[in-house]
Amino acid sequence: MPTTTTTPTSTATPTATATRDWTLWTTDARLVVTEPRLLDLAVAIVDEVTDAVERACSRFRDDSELSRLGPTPAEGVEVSAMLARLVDAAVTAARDTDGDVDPTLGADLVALGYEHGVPTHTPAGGAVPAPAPVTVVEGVTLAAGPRRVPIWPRVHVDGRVLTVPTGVRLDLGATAKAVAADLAAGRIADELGVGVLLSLGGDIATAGPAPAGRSSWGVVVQDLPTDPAATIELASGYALATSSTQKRRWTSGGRPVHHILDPRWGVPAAPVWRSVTVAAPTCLRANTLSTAAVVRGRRAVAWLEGLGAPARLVDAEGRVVVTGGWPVDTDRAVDAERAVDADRAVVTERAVDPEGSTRS
Amino acid sequence: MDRTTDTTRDAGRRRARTVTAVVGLSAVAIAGATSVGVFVAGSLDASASTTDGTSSSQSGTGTDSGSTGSGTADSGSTGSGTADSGTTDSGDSGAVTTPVQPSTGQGSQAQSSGS
Repeated sequence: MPTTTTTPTSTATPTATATRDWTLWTTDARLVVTEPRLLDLAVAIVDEVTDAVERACSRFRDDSELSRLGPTPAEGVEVSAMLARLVDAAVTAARDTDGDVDPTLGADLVALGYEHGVPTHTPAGGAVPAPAPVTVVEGVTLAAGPRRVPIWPRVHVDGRVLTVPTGVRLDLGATAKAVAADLAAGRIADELGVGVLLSLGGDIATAGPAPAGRSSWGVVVQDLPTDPAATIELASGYALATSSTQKRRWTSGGRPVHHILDPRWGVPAAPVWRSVTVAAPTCLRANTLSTAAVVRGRRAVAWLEGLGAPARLVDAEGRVVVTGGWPVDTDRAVDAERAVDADRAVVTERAVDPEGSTRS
Repeated sequence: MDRTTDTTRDAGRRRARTVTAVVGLSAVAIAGATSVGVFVAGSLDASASTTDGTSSSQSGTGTDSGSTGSGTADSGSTGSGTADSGTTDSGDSGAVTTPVQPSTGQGSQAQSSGS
């Protein structure tokens, strides 16, 4: 059931923010606006955008436009403007990450048991086949089967004409959520003239002015409750996305898996990082980088640093690595580390805890 | 735009830190050095110049599946597409702002986590 709260920002600035929380796409959605009386209108915009995105590309709904395209050849098919936009965003993400964020993994996810919105546990020897694993690392099955040939370069959108290779099943999940956040937040700010923060499953887009008396939005960055947390200020107009190897975990063929696949093998990425959070001008860009960082493992640090992308990575041991000017001071509860893994150099800093002794 | 400026300042602010380094593919540990440069995206930062003489290992753990197999498709570490404009440089003043700043203690409006 949706919940609504209205919170004065301070006694000196009587303008309040209003918040609505609800469940969407088997995750949590939160909308915050700087003008409480416009909250319902803002929620309506979010509903409109998310409904349109779901109708266009959900692979969990048989009646979505993407599902109706089916596995049949879709070369040269005219699609809705929304689906064209979402596919274009997904292909852009793939291009920007050299394929580490790949929209053509739908069949791989289905093979692992992730078909109906919530992953399905399948026992060893069950009906759903899993790729042949060779090892389990940090509780996640890895595999070293044949390297997949990238298919995404053959997915094209020309205007509203979509070309997808025969038999390819698109999964636009990650990028579509981010695009939805960007679209809805932008529309709310433009149409209602208010400041807005929209979180769809932790992927956060902001637009318009920050709450009265502030120049930014306060955001807690934390994946699981037991993970290290950091509260940061996100400048209005920017976005934040977190990708996690700890959420949406299940067993496939009796083996543990998670939902972020390494496109090279079509199996879950090695859980080098428990979670990666990235700030960027758009939620799409933030989500693209955070997802790719999970896939890239250790190489992600140098990559993000090279891009100048503010990011916070939590490794398998719960240690925090930051790049691109992400503040470390908020991470005092754990070893705050900076690691730069260029091809020929690795540098690690260990922070000093508040008591002044070096932690290791 | 020099995107390393902010990193340099960050390092400078955090002097009370142990900085250790492993340089080169042969993983030669620098021990007992009095000054360790921080190699960040092609720049050398000498401000983070403390040491305790210990060696270090890479902070990441686990296994990077990217290290297996062959081919070059995973060599995209240079990135492509749009550069992140999240870091801005105000020019002569050298002031750098990023979209993410430490908490001001005014509370939070949302949480970012995986989904």
